Amino acid sequence: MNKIRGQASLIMIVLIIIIFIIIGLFLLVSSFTTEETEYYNIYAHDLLVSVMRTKTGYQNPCETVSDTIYCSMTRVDRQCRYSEDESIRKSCRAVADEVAPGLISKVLATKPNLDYYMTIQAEDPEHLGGETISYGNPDVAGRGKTWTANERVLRYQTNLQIQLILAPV
Amino acid sequence: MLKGQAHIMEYVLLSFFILLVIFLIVFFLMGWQIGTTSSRQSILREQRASFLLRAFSNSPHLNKEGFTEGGMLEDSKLTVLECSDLEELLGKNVFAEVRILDSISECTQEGYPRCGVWTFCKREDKNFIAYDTPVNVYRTLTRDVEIGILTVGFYE
Repeated sequence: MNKIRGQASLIMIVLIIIIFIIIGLFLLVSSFTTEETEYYNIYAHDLLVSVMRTKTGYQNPCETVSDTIYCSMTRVDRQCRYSEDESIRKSCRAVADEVAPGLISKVLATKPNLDYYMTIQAEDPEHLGGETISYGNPDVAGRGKTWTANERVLRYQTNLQIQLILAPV
Repeated sequence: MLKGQAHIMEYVLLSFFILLVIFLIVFFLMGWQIGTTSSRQSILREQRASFLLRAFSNSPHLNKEGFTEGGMLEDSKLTVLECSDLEELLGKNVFAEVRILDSISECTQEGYPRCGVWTFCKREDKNFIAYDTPVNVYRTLTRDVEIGILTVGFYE
């Protein structure tokens, strides 16, 4: 009887040690992650806002990246002239496909550990036939650790919802 | 007699294990305390670097009028900014750099506006903490908006 009681005490002690180790590891891991998340959330937001405001080098209606994206979703046939050589004309969609992913990739070249995925769609899903434009790596959205930035492009007829997801490579 | 010895042995063994657990708990708590203190210290340093980054990119002295969200730094304001101004804005032992993508030429009042790199209070000291983030740079003369990387940090 005493032997069984002694064994039970030993098992209890071992269990207490294991519980302490698990709690300690959990506390350590949780204390390390908070600040990094906050920084990358700010980084994702700044990246999205900066890219949207940047001028493309093309004339109206493709002046900024956000203008170009709006144009490529609402005025499919519109052409944009290149500012430095007006003989060069491209559709809004072609300008958006060239400039938006190009700028994001250039910025992320300074952070080679990050990958991105960007989606653009009308705020009202029935508008514009539910079309979605996307750039980057679609696998990013399914990764466990991601940082997301959301922005709205506000226009007279249709508002656009833009989402940028960053994740470690 | 043997039964009594066995009992004593059992108590000695149990006492030994209880002491071991107490020591383990004490060592664990001490280790954890030291770990969290140093981790807290590094978090505070990172928070300071992060705060400096926000303070620089949102400063009304450097941004184009009317922009409150994100950075829209004006190139003319950056060109006239000096290290003493930055220290007045963010404190001592800080440094900052704004670099337009693909640009290598340093901006001075003589070289303006054909330049794309502004550095303030940079030293050779390699013991620093810094964060970077994308910002826009507004070209006052051409009204162009370009994208660049803002790096702000402090020397330890």
